[in-house]
Amino acid sequence: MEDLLRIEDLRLTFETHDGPVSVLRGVDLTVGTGERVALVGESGSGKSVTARVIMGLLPQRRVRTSGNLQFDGSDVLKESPARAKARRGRDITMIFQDPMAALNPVFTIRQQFAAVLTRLDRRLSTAEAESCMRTALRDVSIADPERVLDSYSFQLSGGLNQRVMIAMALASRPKLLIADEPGTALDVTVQQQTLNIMANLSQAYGTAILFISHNLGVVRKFADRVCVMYAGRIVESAPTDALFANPRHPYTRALLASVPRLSSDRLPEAIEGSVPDLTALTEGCAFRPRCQFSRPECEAPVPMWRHAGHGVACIHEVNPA
Amino acid sequence: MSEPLLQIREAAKTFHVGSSEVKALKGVNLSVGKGETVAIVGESGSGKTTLANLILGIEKPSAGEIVLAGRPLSGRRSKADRRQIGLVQQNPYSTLNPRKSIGQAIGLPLSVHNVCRRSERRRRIGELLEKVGLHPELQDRRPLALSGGQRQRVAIARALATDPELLVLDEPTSSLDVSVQAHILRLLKDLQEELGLTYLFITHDLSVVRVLASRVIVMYRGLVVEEGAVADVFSGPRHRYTQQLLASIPTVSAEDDRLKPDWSWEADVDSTEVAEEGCPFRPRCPFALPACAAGTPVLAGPKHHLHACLNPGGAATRKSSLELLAGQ
Amino acid sequence: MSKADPRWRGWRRFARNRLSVFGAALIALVLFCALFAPYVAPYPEHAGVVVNFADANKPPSAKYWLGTDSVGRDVLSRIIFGFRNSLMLGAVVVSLAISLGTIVGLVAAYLGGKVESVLMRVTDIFLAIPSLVLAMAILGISQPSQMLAMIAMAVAWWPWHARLVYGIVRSLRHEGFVTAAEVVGASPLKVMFGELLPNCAPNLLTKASLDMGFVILLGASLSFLGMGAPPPTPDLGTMVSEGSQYLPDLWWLSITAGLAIFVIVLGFNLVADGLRDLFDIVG
Repeated sequence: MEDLLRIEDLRLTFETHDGPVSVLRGVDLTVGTGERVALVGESGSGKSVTARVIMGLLPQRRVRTSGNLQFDGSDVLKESPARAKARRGRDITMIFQDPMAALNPVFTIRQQFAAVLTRLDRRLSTAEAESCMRTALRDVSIADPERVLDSYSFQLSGGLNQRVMIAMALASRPKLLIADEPGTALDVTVQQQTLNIMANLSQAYGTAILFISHNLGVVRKFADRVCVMYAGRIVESAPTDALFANPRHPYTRALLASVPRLSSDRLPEAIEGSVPDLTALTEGCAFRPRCQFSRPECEAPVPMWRHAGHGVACIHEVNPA
Repeated sequence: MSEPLLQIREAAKTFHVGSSEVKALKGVNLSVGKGETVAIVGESGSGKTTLANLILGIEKPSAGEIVLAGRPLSGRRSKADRRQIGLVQQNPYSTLNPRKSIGQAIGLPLSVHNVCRRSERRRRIGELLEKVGLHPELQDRRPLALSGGQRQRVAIARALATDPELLVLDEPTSSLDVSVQAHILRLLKDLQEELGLTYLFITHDLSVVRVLASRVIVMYRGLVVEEGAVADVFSGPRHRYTQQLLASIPTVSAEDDRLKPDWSWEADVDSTEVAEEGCPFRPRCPFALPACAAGTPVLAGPKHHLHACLNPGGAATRKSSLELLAGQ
Repeated sequence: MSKADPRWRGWRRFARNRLSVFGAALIALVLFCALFAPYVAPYPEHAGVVVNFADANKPPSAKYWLGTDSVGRDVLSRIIFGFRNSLMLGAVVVSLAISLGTIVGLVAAYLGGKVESVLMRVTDIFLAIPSLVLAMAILGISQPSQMLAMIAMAVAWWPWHARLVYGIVRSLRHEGFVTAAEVVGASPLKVMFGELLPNCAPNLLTKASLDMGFVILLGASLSFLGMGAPPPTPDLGTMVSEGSQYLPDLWWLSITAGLAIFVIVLGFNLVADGLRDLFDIVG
């Protein structure tokens, strides 16, 4: 499986009035064709920014990027905005957390979906568009596409709206779908079903998915591989089963320990300290202040150590004390 | 068993939207003992928020009554009644007035209820902040300077300002990162032990229910469909909706996976068909019987575990309930 | 004030906006003149009853920097006193309008129901009448005077504030912190003025700044039409009016007064934009 998306040492700094803020500090990430990769992190980890860099959605001014970002052979960081624009919505599409907010309430679903389709192919006739839309909606298990197409987003439930978004995002048969916290705004039963639909459909179309989430449990059911992000860096990357069965990085372990379990009524372990201030970070491991294994050596830049597809950015792994 | 702190009898609430009616609550009974943590679980449309609003006095019930510490609560709440109930809301970003300082936010209940003299106020606010793990000097800052977790702590401090007996917590950790949630859950547990608080926890997150609550009440479309001790309901969910709910918990370990009931996901979860008669879950239920369409479902069963299902799931298997009990 | 303090950052944002700073400078100048008029004006007595036909209708010179008017009074001095007049007018009218409008908007949006309907319909009615016409109608009641002019303008102006506050409060009505205050047991008055009003303050102050300019213009228009302060009060609008008959020969009479009005209005408008930045605490 060759790499569809390859990110190497991606760094991104925002120039704010209070000084530079490094939001991404050397991100390494790959997504293979048809692969389902989850990017997991808490607020401030930089996961949403990463998604936007891939899409080419960040402002040009006051943003400094460096590193290597290759999508399907092209260098995203160095290309023109026009190329990024052409790719968006075609080869890479994105769905968002709140379907109600992502769909425009003053247009019917039909109008919005048709707009998406005609952007992809200007020669599409009304009849062709209509048939395409109906098929797409049936593919996301909507039994009554006519009714949904005639409706406005506020007339439909959250789950239906999310499925409409999935249908619209997959209409172009993209190579990569970025899903930014999908289903978070939905009821948990609806979320489950919606994600099943998304998984099945993307598999049928051969679309790779970059699934961004803060919810480890949701990610576990869904992804082939999980990358854990902390303070602008990937700290661990492994196949899903391996990550959950054997988490290596202290942050991953702490994160898993802080999830309440069904198997006992014991309170989850809280991670000491808080997320670091992004303006005051050094090159060393950002988790150091909160890590029980920290040593003076952790102040130096930490390489990603890989073994059998399981990558960990922790020197404790290489030289356990 | 002493008298319950909070008792709700046949509470119903109907909203009139334009010309149509929405029956948000259709006759709910609930009782919470002093020092208990009771969780009300349900998804959107279940009526759990409406129930909370009735308890808090934000809405008036269309029928039924609410009794707090033996006193029925009327539509117009007295200050004494309000003092007894504290509220912690879901969204830490809208629960504090952005244009007032933290001290002013916590000071509001102090001044409304004349809890202490003006000169004492600053010290008292400082104490409350320390109790929730924050620095007393934070009272001069504005909410903008605080993180989500810190704001939620402030919300808890504010809720405790009048020394209430009952704390209503409406999805208090749903908007927080999981590691921050862990801190808040610990704080809530510690505070409960220290201050002898009674918690009424409203949530859709069942794993939080597992670690914090002793009793759980499952609601669906305005009715209680199952209620009982957490261990019993989780190890042996009877109502089909409870089964589906438990089956959809995103679990992070194989151990937890085994404790979830099986559920086939073919039936359309999102059906908006509303059942006027009979069990509200029938349109979405793969196990529905013809009898499920008639009459109002009634809660029945042993006192520690009631449910309202005509075709319920099996009783807890020995293995799973043993596993659950072992974890306690 | 520490660097992280949102108020400090607010001022910094304000300072970055060059135009707003310029506007603030203009207002500072006008304010200075207004406050210290008797000391700043070269001929303070010319603000009152003075007749000096020998020096009448003289163009700008070293002795009279902006020339003299038809009865020999120094135009510059009268403009400086005119600033005082205009600022006072603006301050009083805007204060009255904001007070009344805020109360109406706040009560209507918070209480809702019939109260809301009645109050907002009344507001709509007032909004439907052009402000100049309304002001003139009120002034027609009795002899024109400064006081009556101010009342008239306040009556014309309050509905805009009511509308503004109504919109803000309606959007905030069901926010978490409002519900939290209600659950705590705060009285409606306390919720309206303690919780909701502070959230209207930034918009109100920005609008107040914009209003100052417009109110002063409106006042000048009324004076121009002869409904403002009676002579000999130095009033910028009246000066423009009186001088207009002599255009274009005695250009300095109207043009200088007109420019003075321009300076005030420009200053307040530029500052208004910056005020938004000052208060803009995102989130």
